[in-house]
Amino acid sequence: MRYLFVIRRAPYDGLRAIETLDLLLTVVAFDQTVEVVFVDDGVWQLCRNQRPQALAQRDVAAMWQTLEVYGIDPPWVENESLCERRIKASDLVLPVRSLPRARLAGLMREYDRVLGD
Amino acid sequence: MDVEETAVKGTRFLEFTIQVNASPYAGAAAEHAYRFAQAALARGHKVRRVFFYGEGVYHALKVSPPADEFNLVARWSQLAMSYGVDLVICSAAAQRRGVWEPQTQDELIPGFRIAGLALLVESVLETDRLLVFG
Repeated sequence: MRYLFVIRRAPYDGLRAIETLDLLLTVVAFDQTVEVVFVDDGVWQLCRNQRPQALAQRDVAAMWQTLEVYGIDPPWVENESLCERRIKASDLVLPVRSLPRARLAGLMREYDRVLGD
Repeated sequence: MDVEETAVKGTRFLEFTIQVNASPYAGAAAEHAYRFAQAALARGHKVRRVFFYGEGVYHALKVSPPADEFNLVARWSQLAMSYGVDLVICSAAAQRRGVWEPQTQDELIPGFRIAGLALLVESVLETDRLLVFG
């Protein structure tokens, strides 16, 4: 089955990012195809130069960088979400696939299961 | 809640997995999850498993609200007893929050049990729909 994780919350919202990644890796352990799309404030999770030490938390961007190790394709990132926050692709910690907002609903229909964060 | 007991002829019955990420009394998400499960079951659908994840693991705590206040955890327990719904509290998320520790033999509220994330994924694989609340 094909799974899409839709990440739309800002990082450091309690344990949310960590627990979403735990769930994602459990799905991977079941030999399922997993892809990820970042929209809305979720795009902040991929920004460079995060200093989680100041919050005594784990680096969320570094966590997402490990996806490649598990054979997961580069994540989708919604263009408009980046533009609205004045974030450039070069501000992100990993290569991404860019997705126009108009295509998001269509993308979701390509997967058997869609999960949020 | 006024729900029809008999399903419309020709309705396709579905089997659901429900994920609850919200604690019972913060916001309305947990209440909405319960209402959805109740309505689906009343219409003849199945709810295989409700998986309490993230802040949802606070459903494992034995709460004792005053008698005239609502008790969502008790209602989940009754629903599980009536319809055989599997209520699972995530072990890792519960340990992180001090809600549960493996050494203790504390009994949970009837209908609830503790298990790992694999049970959520297994249920998602085998049922028709996953709904996430909170």
